[in-house]
Amino acid sequence: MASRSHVDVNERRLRPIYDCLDNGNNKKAVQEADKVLKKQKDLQCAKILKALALLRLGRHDDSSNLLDEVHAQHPVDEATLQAMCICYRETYKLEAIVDMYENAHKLKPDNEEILSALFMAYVRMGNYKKQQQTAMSLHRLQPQKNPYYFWAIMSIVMQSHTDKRLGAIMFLPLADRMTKKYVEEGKINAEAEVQLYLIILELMEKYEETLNLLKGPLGEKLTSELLYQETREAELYTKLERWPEANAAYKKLIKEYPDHWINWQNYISSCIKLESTDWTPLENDDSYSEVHYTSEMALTFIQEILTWQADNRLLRGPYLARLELIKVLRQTGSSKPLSVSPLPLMIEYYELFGDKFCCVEDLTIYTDLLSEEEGQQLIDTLSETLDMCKTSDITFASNVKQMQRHVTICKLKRNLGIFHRQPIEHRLVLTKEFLSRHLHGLDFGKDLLATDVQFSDSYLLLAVHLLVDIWEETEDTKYLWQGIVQLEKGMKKSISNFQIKVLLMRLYCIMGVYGPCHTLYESLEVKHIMNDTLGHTIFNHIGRLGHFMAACATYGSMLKFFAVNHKETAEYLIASYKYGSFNKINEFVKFRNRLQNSIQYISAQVESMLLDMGMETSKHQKTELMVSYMALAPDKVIFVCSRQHIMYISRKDPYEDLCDNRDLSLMRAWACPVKCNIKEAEEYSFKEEKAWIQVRDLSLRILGACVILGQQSVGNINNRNGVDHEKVRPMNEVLEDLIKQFKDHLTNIQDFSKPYKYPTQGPYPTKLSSYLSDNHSQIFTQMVDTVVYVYKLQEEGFDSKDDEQEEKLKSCVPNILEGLLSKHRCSLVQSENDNKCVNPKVLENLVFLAETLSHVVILTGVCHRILKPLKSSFNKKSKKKKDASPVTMPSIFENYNQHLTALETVAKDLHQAVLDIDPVFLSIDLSNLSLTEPLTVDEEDAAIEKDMWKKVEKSYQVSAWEVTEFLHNKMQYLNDLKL
Amino acid sequence: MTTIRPFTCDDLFRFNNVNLDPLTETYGLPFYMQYLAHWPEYFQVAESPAGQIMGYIMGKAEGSNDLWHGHVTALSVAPEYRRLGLAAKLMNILEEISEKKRCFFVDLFVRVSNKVAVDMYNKLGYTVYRTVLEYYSGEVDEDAYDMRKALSRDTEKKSVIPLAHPVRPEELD
Repeated sequence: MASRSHVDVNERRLRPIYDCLDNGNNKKAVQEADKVLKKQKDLQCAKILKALALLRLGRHDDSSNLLDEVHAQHPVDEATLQAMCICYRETYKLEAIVDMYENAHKLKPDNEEILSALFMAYVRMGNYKKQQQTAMSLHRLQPQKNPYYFWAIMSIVMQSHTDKRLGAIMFLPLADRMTKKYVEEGKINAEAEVQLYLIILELMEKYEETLNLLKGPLGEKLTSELLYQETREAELYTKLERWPEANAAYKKLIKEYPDHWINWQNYISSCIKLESTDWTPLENDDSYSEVHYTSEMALTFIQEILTWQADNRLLRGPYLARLELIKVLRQTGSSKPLSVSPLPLMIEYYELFGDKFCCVEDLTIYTDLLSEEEGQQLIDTLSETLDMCKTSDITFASNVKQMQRHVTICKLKRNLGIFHRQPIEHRLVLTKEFLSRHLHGLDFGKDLLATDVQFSDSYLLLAVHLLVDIWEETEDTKYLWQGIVQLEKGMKKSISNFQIKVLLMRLYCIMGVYGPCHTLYESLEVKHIMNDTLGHTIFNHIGRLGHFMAACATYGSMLKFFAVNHKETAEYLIASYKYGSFNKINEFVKFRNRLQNSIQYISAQVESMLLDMGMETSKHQKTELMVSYMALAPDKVIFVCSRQHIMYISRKDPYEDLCDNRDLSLMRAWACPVKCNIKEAEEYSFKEEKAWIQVRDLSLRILGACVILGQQSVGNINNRNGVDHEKVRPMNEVLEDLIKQFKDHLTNIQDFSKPYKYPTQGPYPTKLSSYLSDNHSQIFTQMVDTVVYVYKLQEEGFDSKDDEQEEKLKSCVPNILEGLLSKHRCSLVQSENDNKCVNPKVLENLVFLAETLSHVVILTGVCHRILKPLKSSFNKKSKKKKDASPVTMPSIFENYNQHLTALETVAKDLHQAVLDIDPVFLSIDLSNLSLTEPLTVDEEDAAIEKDMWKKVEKSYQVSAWEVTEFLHNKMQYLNDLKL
Repeated sequence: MTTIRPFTCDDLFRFNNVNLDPLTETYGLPFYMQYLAHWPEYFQVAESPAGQIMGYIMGKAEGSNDLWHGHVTALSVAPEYRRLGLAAKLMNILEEISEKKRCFFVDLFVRVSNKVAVDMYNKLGYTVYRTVLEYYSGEVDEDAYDMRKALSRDTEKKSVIPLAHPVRPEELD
């Protein structure tokens, strides 16, 4: 009784602190906690709540001192433990949570809450084995509570995912036995438990048993999802290749939901499978009476469904099913003739659904069934049905539906490659026609809300895609400028249309104009997971185009998403155990890994560090500070060392685990699959991104290793940039190892030096091809070799001098840089036969040079760091030997100085070259240069064009300004490096 | 023709064409994962034959006694897949699942200004149960309709008798 009232008193006293914390009033929470602690100086919970408030105030050290103090006392009180758990979660110290509950459990072994919290702590860590043990302890404590037992089983299943071999021979059989025991004893009572059994049986590929389970009494527990048993049964028959049963099952499902596409696909493929094996039911065997085993039977069935639905809303499913049937039949190479052919089916489909936006997407799945003539025939027939297509003059649509039908035809034409076959002049006429149709169609959408998309926007997009095609063929950038003007104009009328924005961003970026993209990107409200999937729309451009400040901010917000999400999502693994959503557990684990290994995440990490190294350094000391601030551990792959608690067994090569989460299918261009192979481009791009990430990751680590090496060579600086207990490899060995990896990698990726031609709607290239073909890689490796050489001189003395290295040091790197500069140096506006045009490549090339130069400067700084003390000690020695014959100065010092002087010249030249592309600096008015010719004689267009040039000018100016500033820093840096 | 199936985490990587619509909110991952962990059957996605995500519905079952009901948290269809009856189909699934769970009714909140949606819900049998004042925050706060549809368990349709007065968000249970 006494202790109970004691608890109440505590609760009452702590209440105000909780309230303050809940209201976000952390300062007051600290004061309230202090008040309580005055009365009860040992009240653990008050201390922890204070620690939590301190943590939220950003006073991390004070907070963790308090936490450590209480932690060491091994608290067992629930409120204290919970509050500590919150603190540790916020600081992501997951091990500490485990430790804390382990301690509490030892003191109170029979406490169910503590033990269950310990289980959750292991879930956060992904320690499946400990999860299993803890769940079993819980089960022994509370044998009547089923969930604990099944937590244990699920934990065993998770172990089978991390070790497939042991999974098959040990974990899964164990999980199977344990579940079966409960089944036999009649102890299964929840749907989740049956679900888990299904998971186990399927992982063991025991499909027959799975089927029996579904059909048996336990299957009746599966009620949450609609038609769950029926769907699963059909899937299992398919897995078992029991085609007759699969076919009958899917047929039944189709009758239930005649529009459910995947059922149609499976039904059709089972039919074709049966047909190709000449399967027929045995005579007098009624059990297969429902099976369709020929394509004609399938066709009849589809027809039957079509007549059924005559009274209701038309369903697209059965109509498309016939085309699917033809497609699958052709894919299997069957020679069986079918009584329908694709062309009339597609015409019919258009007649029924041509006014729907998705009609094109549906039909384009099947356009490759048509020959070129049939494609033309399709268009001709469809055009006949529309009055607007009949005359040679432009006749506008009289209503939205008619317009949509026309749009459908135009998109089909593009998809069939019909536009591509026309001469450029025709396509330009067509572009203008589309633009006027777009303008006309806007009338239909006068009453639309700002959140709606204009009905006629498709015309605009088609027009701009035509312009892009023409640019791709002619390389004349005026078409792109025209496209930009039209998109800018269309966006004003249809502010919510993201297709316009995405395409506009792409065109600006092609022209080297990043400025407007930032606003566009923000107007898309890209947040949370979109950072990962849509970040690519700007990511490869910001840095490339020298918008360094914007790059910092963007990388920062991306990184924040990835860091926060990993912290937060662990809690939902726990929720899945609590709610028995066992299906979600492995899904969540895989999802978290996919995010952690996202190329977008890793690129953002590596690029932001590289950017900091370049931007924040105007002195070598600053670089050294930066490296230690980044806690760079050069012996570890950047993205691996930043990972904690990854719940998977990492492969030997961490780059192998990288995932491509970019959403590259967002942009609709209705491109002709023959002209542009999107899938291939995406695959190539992923490979390229991976190869490039590896270049960048290794460059960063090599830079870091060199800087640390330089520091170490001077004083006895603590060389441990990592955990204390690990054995630390000497930095020079790490560096040698990295250089080898780097050079090997360069050899492996030589194929990427040839630029890949990505479609405009597809991914954007990295800088890899110019990196390789422009010898940036050579500059870097040569410079790193020099660092290694200088370090060797220091270690082994001047006698180990190597003439070849000395010679290279003298001028090699500045020479290549100078060569590249003169290759790429040119004016932003070029004129060719009286035609002026912007050359967007200049900017990109110069920015890249500036970046490489900054790496060279850092590495030169390292050389200086090593050489300077060598020189002064040499001077001292030679002064002492006054009487002896004069000692010749080792050539390294002079050669180094030559390198430095040459480098300073390059830096200055580059600085000037970048200044020269600033349009404002040069007082060029881009809008007066007739860099494009207007598509239409229209005042509005002219105004928008003028506006566009302003944005373009501003953006180039920002680029030039930021890059000159960047180079200015490097020149300062070099000033300090004289020997 | 559409494949409707349970929403999975991987769909989060591909739902941009739905979520870039200005009226569709993109939430932090915890929000989606909470629903996936707790009410996976209430989170369904529609996929086109070409593999694009057309739309999705997200919901839950909650409340005690005769307030036990299905709730629509989010329903969105990408602009290019509208006017195909997809939203109705997704709503129908949610209602059927709620029926199976023996819910009394299904409810949802909608912006008072979103006439298209209000009309659609009306057509699907939903009626305004009450108005929630300034439920949506923004530059100008906006009221929400709390719309309801009775399920078969509520034989007397008690759950949908409209309230006479609007309520404030903090008065919601």
